[in-house]
Amino acid sequence: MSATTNFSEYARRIKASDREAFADLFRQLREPLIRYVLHIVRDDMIAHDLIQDSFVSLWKLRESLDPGKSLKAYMYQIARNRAMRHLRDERTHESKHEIIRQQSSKEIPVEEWPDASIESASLQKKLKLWLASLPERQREALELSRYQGLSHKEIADVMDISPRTVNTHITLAIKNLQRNIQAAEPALFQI
Amino acid sequence: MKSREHNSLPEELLQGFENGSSDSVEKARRVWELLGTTQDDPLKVPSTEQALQELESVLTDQPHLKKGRADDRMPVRKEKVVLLRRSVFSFVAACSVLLIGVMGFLSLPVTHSTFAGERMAVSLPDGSEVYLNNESSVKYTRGFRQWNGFKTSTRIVELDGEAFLTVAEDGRPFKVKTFNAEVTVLGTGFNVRAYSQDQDRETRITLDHGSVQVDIGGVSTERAVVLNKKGQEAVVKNASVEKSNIIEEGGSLEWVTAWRSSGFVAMGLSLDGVINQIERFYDTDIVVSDGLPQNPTDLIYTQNAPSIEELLTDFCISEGCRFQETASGYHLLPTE
Repeated sequence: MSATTNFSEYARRIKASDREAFADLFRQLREPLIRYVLHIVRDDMIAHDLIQDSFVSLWKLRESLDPGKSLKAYMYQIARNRAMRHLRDERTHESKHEIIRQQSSKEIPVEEWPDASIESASLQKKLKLWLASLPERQREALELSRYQGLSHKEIADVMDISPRTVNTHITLAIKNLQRNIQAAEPALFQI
Repeated sequence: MKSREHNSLPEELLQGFENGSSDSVEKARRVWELLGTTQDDPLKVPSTEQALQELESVLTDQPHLKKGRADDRMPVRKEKVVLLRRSVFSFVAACSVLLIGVMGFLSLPVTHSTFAGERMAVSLPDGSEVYLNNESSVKYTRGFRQWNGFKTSTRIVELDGEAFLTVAEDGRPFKVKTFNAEVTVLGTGFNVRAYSQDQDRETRITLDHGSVQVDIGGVSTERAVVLNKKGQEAVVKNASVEKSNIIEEGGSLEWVTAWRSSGFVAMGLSLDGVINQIERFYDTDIVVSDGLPQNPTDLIYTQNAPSIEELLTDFCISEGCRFQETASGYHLLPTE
């Protein structure tokens, strides 16, 4: 597990105000973090700003870092909290009208995927649509595990739920996807 | 780019499918693999290096002031020559002020302090760690560098109060100065206790690992003492150093550093010393009436000290006293 030892090494060096380690960590985690919060805020530039802020606060909090804890989970946690706060602020500032308008335009338009077009789309495209249509928490847990490479313990910390619940979310997500895939491409599951 | 290296189903997940047949695990594996084939949409954000630069500049400089002033000057550009000369002059002046300011800032020492009832971990620029006990402070030069940016030849930390230090090896000697002593180190962990306001006016150094040399502050190193065994202690008092025997490992050494695990230990102290320590730990005021024994027994709670009332109760049982709560703390009286 060279990746995890790397992160605790980073934590130790950043704690000691090592700017190079900070830059390395930024290069490694920035894009995955942007992609992660993008699902919450649904705007590239806002996601970018949130991650910049997250790293600023990491630097400010560096002295209190605990190298024994997962730095990666910690960063996802900071990013998630900021994204959630952003969403909350946005909601309180905007009129209800705005929210309804924005949400309907930001979410994947339902009309775009009637059965006909989904038939013609590539399996990869379909996978993404199915992913997007999973219940929010199932999708988030699966995403963190599959695409961000976090352990269940780390995901539990980030989402503030128990590792058992993480397991349940991911299991259900996979079963859901499998049902969808099997309906569309039964050949893929013939063993 | 998504990380694709996690191509096999995580071990932890298998439990979720265990009740099902091996067939269902196989299907889950298939889904997991398929998920790895999706493509990310390109992000419409600045490049990582650009973002990093932006971040670095946010973290390094605060002077937006300079920019603001230049903007203010923009509309007054009519009397060209004079103004230009003046502006060149003021630019140079501003630059030198800024330079002096930056140099001044860099040469300012950094101080970290704790209040009574508070403890704090401080990371030094060389990777060494200082864990500060109640009402203590450390002071060191910024980055262990001189004003011109060069590294200082010695890492010097000034301490008032108590701290446990874990010193990182970086080739330069590491020194801890207290009001009356100097401790020189190379890669080691040790406890220094030097409350200059306490009546006993002593610096007590206890070694955990590595080695340290203890000198009397401000004078030659002739009477220096070297500690190189776990549990050895040196006490600097009245301009002399004394090396005590090795205190038992696991016993007293653990007690000396008990404060690091929120313990409370007052060992071998005068009544005054014990009271000072209680005041520091609980951030309270204690008034003591005459008639209490001057050399009380030790108070030892190696982990998670009790509430102040419990502690005072324990103390009073052994010392024969009672305590009353006052507006700002407690009053200790001898039992009649």
